[in-house]
Amino acid sequence: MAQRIDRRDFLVQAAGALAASAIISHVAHARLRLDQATGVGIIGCGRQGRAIIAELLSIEGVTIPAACDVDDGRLRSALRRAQGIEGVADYRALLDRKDVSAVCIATPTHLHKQIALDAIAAGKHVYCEAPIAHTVDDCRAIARAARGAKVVFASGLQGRSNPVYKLAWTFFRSDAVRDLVAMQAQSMQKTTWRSPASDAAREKAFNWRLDPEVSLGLAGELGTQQFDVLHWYTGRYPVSVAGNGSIRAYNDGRQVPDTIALDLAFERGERLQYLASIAATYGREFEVLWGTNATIKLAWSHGWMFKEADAPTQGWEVYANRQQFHNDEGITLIADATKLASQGKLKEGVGLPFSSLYYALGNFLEATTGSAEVACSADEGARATIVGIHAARAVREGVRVEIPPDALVV
Amino acid sequence: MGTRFEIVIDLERGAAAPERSVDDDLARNAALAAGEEALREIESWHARLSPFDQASLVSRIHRDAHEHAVVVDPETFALLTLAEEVRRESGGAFDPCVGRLMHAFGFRGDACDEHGRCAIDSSCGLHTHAGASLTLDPASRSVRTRDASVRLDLGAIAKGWALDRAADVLRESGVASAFLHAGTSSALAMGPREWNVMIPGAGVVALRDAAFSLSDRLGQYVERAGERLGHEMDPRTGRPAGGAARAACVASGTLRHAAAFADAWSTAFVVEGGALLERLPSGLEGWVESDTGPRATLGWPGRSPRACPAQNPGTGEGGRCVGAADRSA
Repeated sequence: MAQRIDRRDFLVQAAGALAASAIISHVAHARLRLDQATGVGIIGCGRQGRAIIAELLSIEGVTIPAACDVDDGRLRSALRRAQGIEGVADYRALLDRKDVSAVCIATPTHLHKQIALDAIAAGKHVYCEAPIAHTVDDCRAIARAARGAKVVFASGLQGRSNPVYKLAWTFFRSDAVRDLVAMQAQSMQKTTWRSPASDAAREKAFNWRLDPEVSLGLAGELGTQQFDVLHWYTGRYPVSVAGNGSIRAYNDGRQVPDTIALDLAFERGERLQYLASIAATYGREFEVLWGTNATIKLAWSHGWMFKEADAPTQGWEVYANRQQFHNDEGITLIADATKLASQGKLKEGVGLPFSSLYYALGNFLEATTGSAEVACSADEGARATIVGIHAARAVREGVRVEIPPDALVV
Repeated sequence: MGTRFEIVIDLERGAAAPERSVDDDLARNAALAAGEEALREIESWHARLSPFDQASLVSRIHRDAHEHAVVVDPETFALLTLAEEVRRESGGAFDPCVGRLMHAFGFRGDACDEHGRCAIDSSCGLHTHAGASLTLDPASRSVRTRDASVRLDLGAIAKGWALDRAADVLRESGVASAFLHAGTSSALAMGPREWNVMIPGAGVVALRDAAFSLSDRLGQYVERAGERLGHEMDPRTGRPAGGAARAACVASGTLRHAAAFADAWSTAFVVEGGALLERLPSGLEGWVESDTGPRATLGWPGRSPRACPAQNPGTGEGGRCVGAADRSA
């Protein structure tokens, strides 16, 4: 039963605790259906490739005529999960197919460039997983090819198409947080980062993330996704990055750290503290932007705004639901709450109804039909990846690495 | 799925890369990676099937499938098809759409309000519809629900299904021999090695390339007016089941979805009782314990009771030793 509190008590509580607002967009609930049939080919059938297949299979109007992987075991694993897909070992055979108008590239990062260039040359729309490449030169080559092409190129940086992030972005850009104080992000998982190889000869190729010759490590493979969110929100890029890394859990001969910390300095003095590990999970994955009026926390399926006690009350707060948020009483903000309530959807909760990958693929497919702008272009994908490449170098060398503006010219 | 999954990979008989020696670090790393991949597969099924996760496929079906057909991926369609198959063959004793009942009796969150008013009390059941609540269209690979009240609850089949899919991943990674279990009540023995599973007080079941599931009517329960109400629901009466106290099913590994079959049928046995043993499809063996004593099919692979080995790593609740790496074979 709700407790009644008087104005004085409320002010005391408000001063001692931040108010939390859960953010979700009603657009998130719309189910994607393509009006024109689109054949999508999958290049790379590892974990991410299979995740892409699973999402595509739930979108009406999408067919997957073929999937490609050089490893027969992985290919079989992907085909087992989907009926009617033809398996091929060479991606060029997939690019030759007339029933494939778009491709999703989910191979190891260092193999993206040639496949992306060949796909663009073959006139296929491209969704390329991020980081889009493992070297600055490869990033620029992909961006150049995409700029000059008539096809859509989408970088697989999911934040920009995530409805929660898009809605929170409107609050951020409308000055709801006021002056940016600091940024923090983390990605915490528990995994060896090893991939099983049915054929021992493929062990090294499968475990490319642990190969220091080609791997961008946690900074590049995990950080790039999150750096892009903060680039997008702030409209700025880091000018330097300091890093360190160590092996905390997996003493199995690997050289790529399983835990890293980064300090990214931005153009106007803001700092981003970044922590990533594959040895512990607490807190999972999120990004936080602290401001003098409010703080926004984004966690992929959910987002919250924590208002400072001295921040002015906004008009929308009058209509917001109040709820207990952890130890604080807060206000739940849901865009178009009245509409959702009339559809009986509010009672289902406030998390995203689809995965973040679903929205990224949906945006890509809509862009191929001309009904949407691509959320994350090759240029933005290249810039975020280049920041990730510099961050990986900072971890590898244990130093602060400058990121001069011309490094981000793609 | 609200339970703990464990995988034991047998390096001697089924390392991820068979040509390697047991001492080879590479083989251990490969086996570890294969196990991790299999656990990730289980997590992906949890994410797809959880009714508590807004982004899950089941939540999507609950939201939309009463208004229009929801297209699902082929694997999920296969799972729902299998669930419907067992529902028909068991005469409705197993039903994948008992979510509303589970919630009403308090097994899926609080069924009572702040004043102690509950949707259901121990003296009555919830009105339910007999027959199919799902319409599955193979051509469009889509699902429709009868109406907005239909709630899937795949708790009686999902653990087995997840074990089946995890075993697929292990095989694709080169693992030939392994033992997997979910919460000690559902288990899958891959490969030629024999793994022993104990039903407390009822004996040992030897598993070789087979799946096992044990259902206990009061494995979870709520108390209402001094009565213990178990978590297995009879969809035909709208009340907790009363057919058998415990039941188990063993499914041959030759069945494509052996662990899912075992899971669903053991639940059906608890709901319906021993009469269902006569209607068991081939490839399945059953054991039912009721007030009149235990009954089993002729091919039931159980042996007389004995103690679990002291070093048994899988010894769990109630002295059950599902998960034992017993090498008595």
